[in-house]
Amino acid sequence: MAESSPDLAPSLWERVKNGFSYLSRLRRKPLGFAGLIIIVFWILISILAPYITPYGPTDFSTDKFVGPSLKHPFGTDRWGRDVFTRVVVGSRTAFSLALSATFLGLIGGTALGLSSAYFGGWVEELLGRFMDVLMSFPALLIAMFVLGVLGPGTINVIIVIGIAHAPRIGRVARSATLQVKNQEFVEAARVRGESDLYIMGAEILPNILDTLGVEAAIRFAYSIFLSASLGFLGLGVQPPSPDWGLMISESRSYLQVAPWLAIFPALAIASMVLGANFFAEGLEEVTGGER
Amino acid sequence: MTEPVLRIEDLEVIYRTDRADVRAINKVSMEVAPGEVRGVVGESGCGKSTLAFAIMKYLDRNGEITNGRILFNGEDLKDKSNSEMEDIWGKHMGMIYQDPTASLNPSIPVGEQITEVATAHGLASRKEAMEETVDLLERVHIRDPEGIINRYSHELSGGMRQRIGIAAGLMGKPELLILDEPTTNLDVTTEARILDIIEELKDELNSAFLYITHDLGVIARIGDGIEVMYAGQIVEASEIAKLFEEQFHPYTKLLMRSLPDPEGKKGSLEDIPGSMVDLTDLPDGCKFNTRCPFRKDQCFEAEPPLEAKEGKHRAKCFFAPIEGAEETESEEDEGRHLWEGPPKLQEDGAILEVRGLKKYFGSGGSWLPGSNEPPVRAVDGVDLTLERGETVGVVGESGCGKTTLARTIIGLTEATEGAINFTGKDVTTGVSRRSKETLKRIQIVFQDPRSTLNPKRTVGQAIARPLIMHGDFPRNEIPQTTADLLSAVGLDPKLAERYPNQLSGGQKQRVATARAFATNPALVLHDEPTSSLDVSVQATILNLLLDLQEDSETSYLFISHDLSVVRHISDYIAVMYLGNVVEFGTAEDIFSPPYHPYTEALLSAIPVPDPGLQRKRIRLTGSVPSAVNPPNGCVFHTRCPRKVGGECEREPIPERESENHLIKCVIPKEELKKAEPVLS
Repeated sequence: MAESSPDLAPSLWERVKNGFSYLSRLRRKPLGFAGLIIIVFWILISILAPYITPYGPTDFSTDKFVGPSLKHPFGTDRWGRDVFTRVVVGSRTAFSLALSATFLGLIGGTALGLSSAYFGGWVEELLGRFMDVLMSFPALLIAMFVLGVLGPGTINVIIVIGIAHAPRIGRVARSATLQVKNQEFVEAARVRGESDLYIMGAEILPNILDTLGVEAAIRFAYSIFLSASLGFLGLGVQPPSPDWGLMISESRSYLQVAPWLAIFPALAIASMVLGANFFAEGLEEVTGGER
Repeated sequence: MTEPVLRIEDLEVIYRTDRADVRAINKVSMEVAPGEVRGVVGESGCGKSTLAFAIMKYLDRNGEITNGRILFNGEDLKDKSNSEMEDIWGKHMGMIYQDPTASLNPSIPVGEQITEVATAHGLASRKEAMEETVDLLERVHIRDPEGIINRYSHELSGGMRQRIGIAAGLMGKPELLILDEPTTNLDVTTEARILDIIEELKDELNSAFLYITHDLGVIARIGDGIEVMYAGQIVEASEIAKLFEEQFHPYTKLLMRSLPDPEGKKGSLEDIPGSMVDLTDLPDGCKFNTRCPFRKDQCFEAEPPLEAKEGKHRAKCFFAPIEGAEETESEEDEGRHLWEGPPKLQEDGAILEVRGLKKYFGSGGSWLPGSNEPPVRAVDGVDLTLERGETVGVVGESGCGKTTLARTIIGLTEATEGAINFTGKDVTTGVSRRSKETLKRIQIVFQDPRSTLNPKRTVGQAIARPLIMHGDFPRNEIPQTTADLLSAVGLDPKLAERYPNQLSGGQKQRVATARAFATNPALVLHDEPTSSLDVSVQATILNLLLDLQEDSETSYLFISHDLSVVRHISDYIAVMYLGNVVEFGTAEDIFSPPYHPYTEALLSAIPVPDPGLQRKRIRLTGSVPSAVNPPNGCVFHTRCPRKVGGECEREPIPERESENHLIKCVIPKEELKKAEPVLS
């Protein structure tokens, strides 16, 4: 009949274009756009780290406690290591930790929240109480406890932060799912005989991704914060690796003589956390406007 | 003639949005005189509600009156500030809203909210106002007004709330009362009583009424004059009787013809091609030229004036009355096959057999002792038989269990008791335990076009999915089959690439229909598929369903609250009340005596677009009893106007049956037969 049958699904290019249309709408939200710029700035820094740093992050030198200068823009620490280099390379640690932890929390939380809302009944009760228990402890307390058992280390920090995030993301995923699950297209899928897994994954999940995206951005900011806190407490990344929290911790004894040791990593943490939060806020406005 | 209370001259309203200016009202002029009910009728998006809010000076913040005058008692409201308007609101101008639930404050007793209108304006002391409130409540036929004034809105039924809303609107004795779809959210029997009240008030008070509605049947009953709106303009205005006699503007003409006639037969309806124009991008010339079947070159060059065509009957059309407009109707008829009566009932091979079906909700209760609440009996013993290629309509008011019946048949909820047989197989289980073949052969079309399609899937993906799941043909044919299905429901196959938010409500409902028909089902359940659509769109959907049925011999179970629609599409009709089928018969049987007393009341309540129609007035009192504790014996006896006596309260209620016509009533059939026809 028709000479060419139309495409059923949007092409990959369409999807990418849709994604960018979200970001371009951010331009009209000053705060969100500022957040985006900060995030992009840090992404560029961490990608280009090896090319913009004059020294290695663990290179010792005899220039100890040198204040900011042309040679050492952020000064040096007690081993003579270049603080600028360590802050720049530290962004890689921060990113990789926060991204993996957020991702882990996102997967765990979505699975928890989505299935508890979808199945309802005793599944919801059980998972709900489990999340309540996890959430009744402050994230940092759980993290310290678990790390005390598992021992410090990068992988363990990721797992611990992921666990701390999961119930919070789960709660958001659950309430988003509740709004979608009784819509008629979900019932149409049930009537068609689709499996629960298909309905959750293909019918509901795409419709709660907007909400989850905003939540992930907020959790990312928390991850930065939390991993820095753990680093500061000595439970996170171990020396001599460059980690912002650890750097602040090590600087404590020399605050009087070398305040730059604490100021620059602290600024880095603050800008990244703020940037991610602004971005999350903008994202919420942009995606919320569509519904 | 008396001076009009309200005179609008060349009114223009524009909503400013990020993208473009929405031209909601474009040069509207009209008058409302004291003691008259002037109806403003139109489909969604025609600007009728904007008109109401513009008169009240209560537009959304981005709305702006850009031109014209609103003369209220000779004063121009356009330049009045909000604080000046506060003196007018309530005291001189009252408004009754569509949704009384939203317009009443849930935390203040309703009596207080009515007296507030008078005390806020200093019209009366609190005590006087309270006395007046009680008077008013009596006037809107609320029993025990002294008790009601201390209640909160959530303790009252929808009909009661709307009466409170009317009483509040009347409290300041306003010269102008604006009613914005006051009965749209109510059941027909409740609506009929509210309309009775408005009719009474019209005779008693000398106020001017501006009545906004989409329902031509409602305005035919209570209106004196009528203005038909399209694209923010009045396209036709006349006395009520004149307009229903003859329509000059093509839009009005087509709109009338798209209504299913409650006295009519199953058959094709006229529809209006295309959809409402985009108010951000209005066409040059006549605004209806994008859809008008009678358009000529002149319609694109200049805009016709709203001019008198015959006496005071005005229309905004160069060519009205259009010659030859009647003939197209007959041409149209020749092209389509008309339905020729219901197919014969056969003894064997029923598609669907439902026996003694019960669905109780919440019967499980908690494991704590003493906390078991009695269940809600949503469906309480229903029998139905559906043959190949025939349609059974299920009609009833909200809460009668019609939707639960459909959901139980399709398996979205599991039956508490009884049996469902589908093509001879027992399928009395939830969807998860039904065979693939059964799932494939029973489909459903839902009510809400906004949620029926997954917003993240294209139209093509939505239709292709059941083909992938249930189809027996190679994958590379799926795109072609999808395109064919789209053409079959009257859509351009190119729409396959679109997302649901790019479609209109009618288009979404067509896609949902295509999705249901993708697996070549033997039975399709329709749960109010047209109730959220405009009448002109409803007509196209009903025509589509009839066409599809003719080609495929699919059986339909069609659920609706609208008797006219059900009559139009069904061979047999089941009337439900409180979980029970009280009457079952052919469409003809249901609409002529003998009637079940409830059916009789329903029929006398439906708004018919015929102002001259005289009919029996049967009004039900009280409200529907709770389904947790339904009345013993006949479920209808608490409200039945023909209640006989004690035997109505005892089981079993006899089933008066003859040739597929069944009435559950104590009154013998011969007696029931003596009833006058409600619609003659």
